Amino acid sequence: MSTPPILSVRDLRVSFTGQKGQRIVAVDGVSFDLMPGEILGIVGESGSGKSVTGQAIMRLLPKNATVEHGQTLLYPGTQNEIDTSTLPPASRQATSLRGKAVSVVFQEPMAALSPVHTIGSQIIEAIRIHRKVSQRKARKIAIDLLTQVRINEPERRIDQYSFELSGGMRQRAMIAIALAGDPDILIADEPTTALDVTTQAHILQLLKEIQSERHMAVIFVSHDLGVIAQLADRVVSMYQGKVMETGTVKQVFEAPTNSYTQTLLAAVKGLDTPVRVHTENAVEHANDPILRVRNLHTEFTIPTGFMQKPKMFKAVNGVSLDIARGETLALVGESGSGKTTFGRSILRAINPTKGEITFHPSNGDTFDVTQASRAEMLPYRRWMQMIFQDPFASLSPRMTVRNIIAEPYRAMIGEDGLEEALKEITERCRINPEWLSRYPHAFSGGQRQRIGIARALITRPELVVCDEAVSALDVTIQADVLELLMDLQQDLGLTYLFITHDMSVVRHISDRVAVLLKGELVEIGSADAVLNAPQNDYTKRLLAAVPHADPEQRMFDKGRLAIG
Amino acid sequence: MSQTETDPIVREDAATQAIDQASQWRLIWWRFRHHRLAMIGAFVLSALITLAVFADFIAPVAPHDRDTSYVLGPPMVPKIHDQNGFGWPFVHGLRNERDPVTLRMITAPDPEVRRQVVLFAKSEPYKMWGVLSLERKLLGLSDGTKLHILGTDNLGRDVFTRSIFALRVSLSVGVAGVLISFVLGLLIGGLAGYLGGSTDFAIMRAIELIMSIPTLPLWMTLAAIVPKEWTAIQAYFAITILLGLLGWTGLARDVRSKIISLRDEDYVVAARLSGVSDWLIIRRHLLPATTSYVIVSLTLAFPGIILGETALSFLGFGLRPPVVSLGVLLESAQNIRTIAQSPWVMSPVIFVILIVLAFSFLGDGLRDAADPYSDKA
Amino acid sequence: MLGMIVFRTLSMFVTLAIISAIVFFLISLPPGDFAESVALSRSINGEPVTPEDIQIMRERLHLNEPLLDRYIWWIKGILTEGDFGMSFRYMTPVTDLIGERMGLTALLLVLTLFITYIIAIPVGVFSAIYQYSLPDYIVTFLGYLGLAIPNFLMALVLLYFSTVVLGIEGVGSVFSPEYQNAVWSFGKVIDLLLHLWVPAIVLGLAGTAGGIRVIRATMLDELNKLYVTAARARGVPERRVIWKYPVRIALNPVISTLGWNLRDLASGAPVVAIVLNLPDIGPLFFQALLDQDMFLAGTLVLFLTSLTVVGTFLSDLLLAWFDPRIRKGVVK
Repeated sequence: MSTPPILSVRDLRVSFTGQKGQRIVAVDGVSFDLMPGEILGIVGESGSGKSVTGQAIMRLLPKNATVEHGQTLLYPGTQNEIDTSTLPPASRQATSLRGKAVSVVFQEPMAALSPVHTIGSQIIEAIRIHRKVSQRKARKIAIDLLTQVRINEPERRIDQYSFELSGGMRQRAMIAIALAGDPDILIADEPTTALDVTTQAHILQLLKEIQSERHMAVIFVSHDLGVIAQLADRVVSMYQGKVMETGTVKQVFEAPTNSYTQTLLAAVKGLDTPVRVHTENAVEHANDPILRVRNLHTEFTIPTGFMQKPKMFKAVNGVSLDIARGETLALVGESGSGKTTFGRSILRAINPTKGEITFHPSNGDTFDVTQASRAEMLPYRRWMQMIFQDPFASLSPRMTVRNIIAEPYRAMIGEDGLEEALKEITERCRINPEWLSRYPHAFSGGQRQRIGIARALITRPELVVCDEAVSALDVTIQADVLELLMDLQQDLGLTYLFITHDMSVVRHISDRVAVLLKGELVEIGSADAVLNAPQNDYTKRLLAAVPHADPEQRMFDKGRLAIG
Repeated sequence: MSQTETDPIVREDAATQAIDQASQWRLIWWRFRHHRLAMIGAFVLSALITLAVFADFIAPVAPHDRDTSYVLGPPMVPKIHDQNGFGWPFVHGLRNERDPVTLRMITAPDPEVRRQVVLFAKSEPYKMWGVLSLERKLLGLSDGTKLHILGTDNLGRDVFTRSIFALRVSLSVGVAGVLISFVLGLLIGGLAGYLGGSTDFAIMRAIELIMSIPTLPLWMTLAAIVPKEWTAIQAYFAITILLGLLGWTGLARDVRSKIISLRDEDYVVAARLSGVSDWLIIRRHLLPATTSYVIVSLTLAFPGIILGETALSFLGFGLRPPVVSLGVLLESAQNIRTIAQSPWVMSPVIFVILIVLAFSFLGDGLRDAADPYSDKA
Repeated sequence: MLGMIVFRTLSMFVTLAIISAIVFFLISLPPGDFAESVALSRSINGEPVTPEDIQIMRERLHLNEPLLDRYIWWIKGILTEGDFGMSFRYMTPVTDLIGERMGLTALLLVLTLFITYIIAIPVGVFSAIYQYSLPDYIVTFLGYLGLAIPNFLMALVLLYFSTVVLGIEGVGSVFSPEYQNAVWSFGKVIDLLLHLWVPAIVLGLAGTAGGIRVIRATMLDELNKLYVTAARARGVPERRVIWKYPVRIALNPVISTLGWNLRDLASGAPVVAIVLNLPDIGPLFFQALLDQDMFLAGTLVLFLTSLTVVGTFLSDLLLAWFDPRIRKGVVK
């Protein structure tokens, strides 16, 4: 290569000082080059040090972090060459480089924007730091920038606060701020992770366009191989602070040489392929629903101002569907679609406003869930259980694993047979018996999720609502937990209502798919039909927006794509 | 960094196994131990409590005993050295002489006479806690005269003795007041948080209302209503109840907000979905999760009640002699001339400051340790 | 926004009404009534009072009517004529006794609040930025001490220091002798302020210490927020980052607790005034309580409470003006 890199990271090592003075190495000997005008994807799971590398380049490391050795050279080989890792973080030199040489877009636009300053105040500030212009001129430039990031009505939006904008719009505003100093390098640190998949597609497209218009160099940090495959020219894969592999996107995705990268890709590709063709299974049981939902409405009142009628928010708005015995029905939707409320309503964790839910356990009962009192609900609870999304919030930190798993059994069955049930369920969920005397803080996310599964299954339920059960986990752990869930389904004859926003998980495990939009059911059918030949427009858009971990199917390279 | 990055992975060595198997209270204790100020606070507080509990034995003199030969006498600080050289800790004897300025007869130390400080000195018989007959005190002077470590007041009463007896009374007012606050706060706050809706609304508005009245003037007004004919003991109970009645609002708010945030925690929802009864949810989830915060609130409520009692009694609306509290002792120190001539009569205030500081340090340390599951250092 | 102002105004009046009822109830608590108290004080002064006289007085003062009627009568007097009742000790309307004194108390409280914030905000911010530095430790320690020292003690120390050490008499007076009986003028106001800062500092000690702690803690939280990092990331100089972003948020709890802060000051004010013998409502309140002169005492409690209720109301409005999230109804 003849052109010199614009940024060269050489043997960078960053460590953190822990609470008890122990040293934790976050980045361990990382080296890579960033070429002008390219998008370099840094991919890795949590704890890989990918974000810390970005922070080190910008000298924005937390107080307890130190750069032990290595360089982060900007403009290497030119007269402007400067090693940012040696600059004091608050120095003039470091400050003047930020926003001008290197800008950054963060994961959480809501948290990255000041809640009490207008969007305009923050953009104009950034503009006037880097350019000697008047307030009025800066405001004009800001409106221009907002137009460039495709915020509609920029004259109005500029005077709004972050909380008045939607998630996607906030991220666009963040991008506008990052562009204010006309930077040579943009670090995008998981910029779309907090967004819905359709919004993500728009933001990715915007980033791609801006990058090619300005011929800007971009470091795109993400845990999502799909996004990286769609956007990056070259890829650095990281694991536990070290670089595993560097190469062009094609090399890395098609012929990874490093075993970690291979595992990672295998996990992603595995997720993207259906494991079982279950469609016949579902058809077979179509006349034997375990749960029948008719015209379900769940509404919340939103308190408004004084003397005003409280608003009603219709989280679930007239949904009817059957869940067949033994199937996995995936309930798909973006944030605010009402999928979680639906899941909680059928278990009466939330009381539905109206509609019918009938539960048909295998003992032949017909149980009216909506009409049941709390006491009547009690005997049926053991057959209807739930697995939660957040493995940290869903286990009481004050109880031992034994007590956590035993809690439902004790409440619904008693002490009789508890030991045997515990023994069996922990074996099935691959929980080491030694764990039982420990507290949740001893475990990682994946391990905790298995504890949560054991708790849900100890009373041998027939219907299990999995509410984003693997969304909080890293992709390799996701694969493990999903495999466990499917094995358990096979062995125990479980029926799953699997609530998720992740289309590859849907493809992987579901027999049938139901799509929710704003509380309404827009499409339901076999996984094959919905995923491969969607009928509804929204479903089509949703599917089109999913970035595939395949550099051969790039969405953003040739102009705009049809994602609406 | 995301949550999972700081998440400890299961390690198999003994030290980490101990951490893995540590209950909430053990984790809180480990964290608390590292809070240096809080440990100091705990130490000072236990020393003060020891003084108060064993006041009868530790105090060199009886609390109402008047040393007419040593009225407004300055503190006798034990020495080990004077112009006659070193020796066993002693204080100088006293002699009468004429003040060179005012020409009045005064008592002054006699540098030629040494009275040795002895441990377990023989004393007049007294009853420890009203039951145990004893004839020895922790400290005394070899010749049987009285040791006034912090001097005497205008009636010749020993300031140190009275201070530690007052400490006992003041701490008991604090404990009782905090207990009343605790019961009311837990009950009312718990009710508001658990029931929610209009009950919650009504209770919260009532609390805001009560909280908007300036505390001390309200206390003073209520205390002024306590009939003058009541005995000192009756007044003691009345004032304690008053202090407790007005202190519960803060605790009620804390309990309520904690319960509301807990109610929607996933693990509480999971328990509900598992058919766990309300009572068990309260006992197994809500109480263990709130207890540490309640302890923090209670610890931090102490200073307010102690300072309240002190201020009330100082102004003469609080406890009444012969009951001695720290505030009652300070009431006699209101006169600026007394303070100017014998500043040691103000020394009970040191105990007030020590109690308040100790409770504040302790409370801060407990607050930092109360949630051992947060990432905060 | 307008709806909120209306709602807050209404609820402020409701609060005041309920508090006045509570206060009236307190006034009526001591055994015996006003007429008996007057009779007692007159007979002590050697003016015999017959039972008929007492009866007449009771009727004139509506003392035979039920509690609720008397309350309405009292409130009506306040609202229509500004009549808060009679002080039996001084045998004059309460209003005549407290007029100027209330003004002085209000001035003292506002001045104290002002001094409290002038000191607490910069010190708290500084202490947070230089966390774990020597000045931070000193400030933290002084803060603890400030909260632990009862303010009457501070007042005594001050009194001791000025009379005994410096030999100045009359720290409690709020005017220099030449202004004592002068008519109000600019010079007199300045003179007043020059005298008031001493009691203001004594009174504001605990509030300042508390304020520093609150600001320091909020700043420490806010300094770690992403929006601060984001501001640094766009090249904003450090000093500007601090003062534009986290400080702005750290002021929120300061503003929202302004009313409570005022309440705490109002709580301590009478005690400090009693010790320093300031010519404000403190000593008057003290004497009224000693005499069980309940109309006077009740009126003073009502006055202090009203100050804090109005203070809370103003702090709510100020917060809404200051924080767009509250103004736009996103956060309560």
